[in-house]
Amino acid sequence: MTVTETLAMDDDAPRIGGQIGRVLLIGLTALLAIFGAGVMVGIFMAMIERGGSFDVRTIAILAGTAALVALALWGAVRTTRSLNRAAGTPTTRERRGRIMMFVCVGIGMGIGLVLAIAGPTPEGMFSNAPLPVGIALPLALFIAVPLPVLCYYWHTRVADEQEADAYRTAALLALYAFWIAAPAWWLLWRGGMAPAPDGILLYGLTIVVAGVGWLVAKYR
Amino acid sequence: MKNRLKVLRAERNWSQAELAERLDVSRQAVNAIETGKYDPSLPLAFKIGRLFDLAIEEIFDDGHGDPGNG
Repeated sequence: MTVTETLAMDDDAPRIGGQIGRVLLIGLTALLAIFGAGVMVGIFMAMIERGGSFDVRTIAILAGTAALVALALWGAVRTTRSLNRAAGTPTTRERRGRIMMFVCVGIGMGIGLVLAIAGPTPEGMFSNAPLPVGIALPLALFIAVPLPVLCYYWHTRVADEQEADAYRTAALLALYAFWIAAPAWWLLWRGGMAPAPDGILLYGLTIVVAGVGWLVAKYR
Repeated sequence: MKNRLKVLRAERNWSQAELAERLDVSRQAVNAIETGKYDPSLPLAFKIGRLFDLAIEEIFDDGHGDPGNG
């Protein structure tokens, strides 16, 4: 193969750098599937607590949610395959990264399902309602113990320096988002213009800002 | 920062994945360096230089030199 042919081959292949949309779509469909599964479990648990009778309306909601989950999973798998085809053969670090992603999604789904089952309110996993110690403590340990190990492995064996740079950008954006949102919300609350600051919502904000920042910095 | 990475890689008939594997980085990193969207660290720049048996300034151009002429 000549130099020109090699360059042309790379130029013809879809640019990895232009894949933000597909990566975002995979993330959104995976989240939709996880939340949909949580909603289904929540409805099941509520029905069982109320005597186990399923009316037509509940069955229709369950069927609709199941269809949505199936569609989201299909979309996630299809988009992942499309992304893999476009990107070609993965390197050792990328293979490690994919395994880690599956592990993390598995942990997330496990936590989400337990919260959906344990959540005594319609909000399910997003509720701030009290949890039994027997559920809250194992879940907290499930996050606090393996996560530092997984993070250490991710940042030493999976992420290369370009991705590490994207993480630094994302972390800085998330830090500023928190530094700005938290005191602003707190002051609005003190002024009677907003509900009390919610730590989990602020946590969610930093996750979203960091996620978008990482995505743009890595795949721009 | 401009660089000759893509040409040097093509001269050896290496794909981005092959170069990425040799440098122990992702293909995205190779792509980002080649397109000038990411400047490698000094250790990675040295690694690239050693891989192609060239000095760093023969591969990378910070706009104040003449890349390719050492």
